[in-house]
Amino acid sequence: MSLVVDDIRACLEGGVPALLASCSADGVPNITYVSQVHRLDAAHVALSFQFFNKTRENILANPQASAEVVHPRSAARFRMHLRYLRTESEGALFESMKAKLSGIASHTGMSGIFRLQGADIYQVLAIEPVPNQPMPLTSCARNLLPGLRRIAEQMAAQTQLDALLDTLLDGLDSALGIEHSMVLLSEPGECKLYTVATRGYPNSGVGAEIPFGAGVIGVAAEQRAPIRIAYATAEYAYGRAVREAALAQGIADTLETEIPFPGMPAPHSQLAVPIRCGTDLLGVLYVESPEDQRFGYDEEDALLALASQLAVMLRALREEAEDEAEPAVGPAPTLSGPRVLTCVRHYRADHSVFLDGAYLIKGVAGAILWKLLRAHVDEGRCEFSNRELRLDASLRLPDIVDNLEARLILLRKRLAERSAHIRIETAGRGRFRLCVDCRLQLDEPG
Amino acid sequence: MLDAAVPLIDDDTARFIEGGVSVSVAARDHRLRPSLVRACGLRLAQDRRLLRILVVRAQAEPLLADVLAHGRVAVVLSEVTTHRTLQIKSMHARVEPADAMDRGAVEQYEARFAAQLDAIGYAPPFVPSLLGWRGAELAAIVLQPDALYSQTPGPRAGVKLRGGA
Repeated sequence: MSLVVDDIRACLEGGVPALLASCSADGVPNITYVSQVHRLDAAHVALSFQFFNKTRENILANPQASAEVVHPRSAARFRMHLRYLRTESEGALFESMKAKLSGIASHTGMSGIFRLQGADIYQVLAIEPVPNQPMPLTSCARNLLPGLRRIAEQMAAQTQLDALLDTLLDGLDSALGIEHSMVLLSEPGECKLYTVATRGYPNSGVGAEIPFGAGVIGVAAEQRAPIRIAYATAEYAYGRAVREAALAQGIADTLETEIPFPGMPAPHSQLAVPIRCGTDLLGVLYVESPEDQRFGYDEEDALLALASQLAVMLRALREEAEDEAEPAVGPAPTLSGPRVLTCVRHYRADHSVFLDGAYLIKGVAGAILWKLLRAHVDEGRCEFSNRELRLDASLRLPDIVDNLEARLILLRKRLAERSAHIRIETAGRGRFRLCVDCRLQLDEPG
Repeated sequence: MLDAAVPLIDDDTARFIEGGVSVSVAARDHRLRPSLVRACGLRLAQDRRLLRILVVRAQAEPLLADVLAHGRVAVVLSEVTTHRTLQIKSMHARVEPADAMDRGAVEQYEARFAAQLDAIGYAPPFVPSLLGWRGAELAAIVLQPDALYSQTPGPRAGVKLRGGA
């Protein structure tokens, strides 16, 4: 049976540098190391082009090349017969390789020296094993399929968005041993993501925002491609990257900066996969780990499969929420005992909301909360439906709010973390209840 | 002009070459298709004019045929702990059977290379598996270096150090 790239992809994780042989037009062979051989598909690989050198000159004149790659645990060697096709210096493949190379450079003390100039794409003509004496793999790579199946089944049973997200992140931990994870969502046309569910962090960080292009999450969103790094690298840290990307995207004024990003300060392994439905980007599923090389091609496959299922379910739940009945207007619940006073301040400019002087939230979720509290104080309302919010022109929601339910989850979680007296709970499909256990003073300056 | 009295490989380069560096070799066929193989050791002649690159014959069949037919080879040597990398080119390489001294050199090389890889996190059993030379027939690619190039990653990668036209 002939080998294809997928059969040897464990050799393409960047552990042991690959060797590449080329030959000039006048017949002089050349051999060099290549930091990264990246699987493109079963019949193509992309090699990192970092320096203008003899190899580069050779493959442009004579596209025939050979490479040798090594399995990082068994030491099995494989020879690949290659034909150079083209070089890409931007786009999803380039960004994916650039991120991976950044980790490799950092791990090998080559930060600042290894810089990706391009992704050289080669057709793989043949792969043959080199007869050395590989070690048996005693600790076989973990089979992720049973865990993947379990999570997929549990997700399929969910009918509420918040439970769906929690099921996914809980499943990553219990079924795949991935302890640190988060889901970030985005609206069509926006160039930032907001954190809606997290697991494994001291602070939930729900509401934190990441602009497209910042860190592996922002790059995965911008490129709609999985981005994976196997070693700690400062180049993809958040912080400064968030500010710079926000400026570059022109969203520095509206980006949520009060809620800190919950992720690890210096993760060793990171993997971000896009949540896509058709050509639309709905968000990003992100996992990270304090270990080197925690996530390989298998984890990337598993997360992409789960992200696909999540995308379909996000769409289905939204459509169901659209179809629910008109809202029932109920009386305010009767509450007993002394009731404290909470001062709620709303700023129209950015819809930021403060509770007793402490920041709660801004943007769409802030506008929604203000609308609910006004209706509660002015009309005594407690029950609301997603549909009426969506149709309410006074909210001045963005033209398209794909994930209204997600904004409500975000709002509910922020209130749970920040307020002892105001909370939101679900009241049936597409409907929710505002519970206020305090007296409210609403204040809207200007 | 190349001074025939002075070998291209100086003291420092000799120490580097014999220090357990990673060694691989490339050749090409009549259609200019490159062949390559990781070597399992090397031996530098006392006068440093000849270098014997030792390979497992079964791992290197196409490459050995190319060397026999055309004689042109490129050898890359890299110290895995420092990334210092050297490429040696030769226009007139030949293939010889490996002798007992070659096998002794491979034994020594394996130990030195294993120590280098151990330093970057590969446990010692990795190297014998990687090289896979025990019990196998070896061959020697014998070459006189024509030119030396630095391939250490960085702005000076590709710079010719010595030799060549």
